[in-house]
Amino acid sequence: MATRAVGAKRSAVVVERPGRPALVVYVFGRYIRAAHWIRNALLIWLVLSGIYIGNPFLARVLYPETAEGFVMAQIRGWHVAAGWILLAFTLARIYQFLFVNREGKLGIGAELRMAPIMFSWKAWRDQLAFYLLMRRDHPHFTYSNYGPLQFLVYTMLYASLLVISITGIILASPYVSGGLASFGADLLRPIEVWMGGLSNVRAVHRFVMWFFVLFTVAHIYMAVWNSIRTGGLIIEGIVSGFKADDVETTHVSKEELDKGKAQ
Amino acid sequence: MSRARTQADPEAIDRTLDEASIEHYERLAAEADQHLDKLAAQAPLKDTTLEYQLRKRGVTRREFLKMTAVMTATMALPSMFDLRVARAAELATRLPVIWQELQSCTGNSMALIRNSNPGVDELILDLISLEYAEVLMAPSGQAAEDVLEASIERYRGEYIAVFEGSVPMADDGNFLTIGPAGHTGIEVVKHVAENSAAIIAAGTCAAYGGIPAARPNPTAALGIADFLNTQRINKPVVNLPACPVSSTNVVGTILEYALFGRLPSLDAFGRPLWAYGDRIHDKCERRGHFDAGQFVEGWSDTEGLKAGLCLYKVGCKGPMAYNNCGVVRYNDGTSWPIMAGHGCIGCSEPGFWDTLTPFEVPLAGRRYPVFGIDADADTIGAVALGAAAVGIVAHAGATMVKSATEQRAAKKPEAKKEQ
Repeated sequence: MATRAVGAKRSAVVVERPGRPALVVYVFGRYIRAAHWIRNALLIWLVLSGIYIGNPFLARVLYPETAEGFVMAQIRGWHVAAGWILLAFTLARIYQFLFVNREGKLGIGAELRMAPIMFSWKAWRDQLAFYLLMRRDHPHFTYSNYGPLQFLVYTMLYASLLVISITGIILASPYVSGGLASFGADLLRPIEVWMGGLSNVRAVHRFVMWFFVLFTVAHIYMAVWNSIRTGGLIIEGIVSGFKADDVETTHVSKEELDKGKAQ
Repeated sequence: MSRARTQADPEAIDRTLDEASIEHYERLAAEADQHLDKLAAQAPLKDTTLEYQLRKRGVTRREFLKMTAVMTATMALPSMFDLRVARAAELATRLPVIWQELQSCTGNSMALIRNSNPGVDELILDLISLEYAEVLMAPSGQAAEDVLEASIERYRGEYIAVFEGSVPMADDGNFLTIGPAGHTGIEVVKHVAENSAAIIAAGTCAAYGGIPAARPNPTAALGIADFLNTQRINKPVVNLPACPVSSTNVVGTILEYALFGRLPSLDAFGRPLWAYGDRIHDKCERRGHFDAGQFVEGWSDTEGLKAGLCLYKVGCKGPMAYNNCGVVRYNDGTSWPIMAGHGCIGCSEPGFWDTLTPFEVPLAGRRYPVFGIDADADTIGAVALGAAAVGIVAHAGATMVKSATEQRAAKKPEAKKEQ
């Protein structure tokens, strides 16, 4: 799996492991790793606080006598704040996807150019065969960092992030007079009308939340599974930035490998 | 609220009126005076006056002015309009109104006329020149039909058409026929709307289809605005949803029409911003308990109910519904649902019977028909999550078996080589 993150520093080392040697390449830059874990934390908080907002229970336990706590308003406030930060990360990521080219400069996005993988029957067949245990080695796509399933699900993930942000802005706007949410909601009014009012907006917000929960579970499982099955150091990769390149299938030459070993 | 960008911006009223605002309102006032003079020049449509009727019922001039001042504030106009609104109330009797029942329960009419203690706004409603109103009028059958035709002929292009109820479209509109000639709702609305000056859709059925339009909508009921769109009839429509609509909002809209000769500024769903600019939630007397997180936990939580805690957890849909019930209240300002201890059901929202039910649980409990079973979003999500967990366990197990076989297969040839 020759995966190279866009704009990441490229360096390769070979680590000896019991079993087979792995060529380890630096694929995830600092920003990508930090953003991954920040988004992860934000999503956990947003899901938990969102479920709380849907069915609040704390205040009468914490403050049975008085209203000094304003628990609901605080949790809702931090929910909205986390939502704004998540939207900022999402927009940065979408910008990178669409407009940052292979050299890390403004242009047609390198990842956008990988989209044809979604429409390749061969790629789908290879990847599904791999996941269904019908082939041993991970399919290797020269023109894409992502497999077709990955590409489709990540596209859906960012589309869902946009949907949950849009519905979130519409839901947050009546609580504040003026400000960014209010301004955004004015622009998004046609979407609110098209959805048929706040109740449907809230229902969509809830369903998309469940998509994130399902995505997270599937994502963690597949990352762990892939890491074990291919020895790809994928879990390690999103912490350290270094991920194993498949030695057998990679186009790295023998000399390059030895050079890496010497280092 | 950003929604309420009307000619009467509430923020501008909150501040001491600055010069620009004063100029703005003076321009509006001049416009109102001009239109009121025009109305005053018209011949009166009734042989009685509001002043006479008020005196007859023992309502003093002072009480009348108090009411019009309240009405002015409700319509988000500054106090310089107090006397103009009073004059508009007096002259509103000169506006011809045709009140047409459609597929409805007549609950809106009933709510307006059945008050045991009718206030001044109900009185104005009694006195506006209701040329035709099935619930109120003495004639019936062909006689009533003649009145309608005569009124439309006499006030062509001048009258306000108030519709109550939805228009059924299925079976060529035969779910609703009116009068001895059996005109369908479609024909009636087309005829009345085409010759009107402006249209008021009173109640949720007329505004958005309401309960008749709830899924599966057997009569294919439409609200007035949607119906007129399908017929390509272009008339200004103001939606006054709620079940029933409060008399204050009907009278306020009529007064605004009498005052300026045009309908008020509307929100995205065609509702006047002065009445529907804020949510029930924003003007709720229990809002403090919501922000504090103190909720009535269930209908047996007598402690919470007696303390007047927030009704969110017993299904109040105030956070999703736009209306001014909490301010104007019902039955001459006596009470309203949340004050009486039941959550808002969001009756002024489009499709409320489908999108805000069940009424007694928060919106997360909304049911969706999935594989013939009614399930809420969380159940659907949890089932999907369970299915994912089962899939993961199955896949992981299959992988373990597969790698065990692979390892055995890999060892075998080695063993052979050693031999």
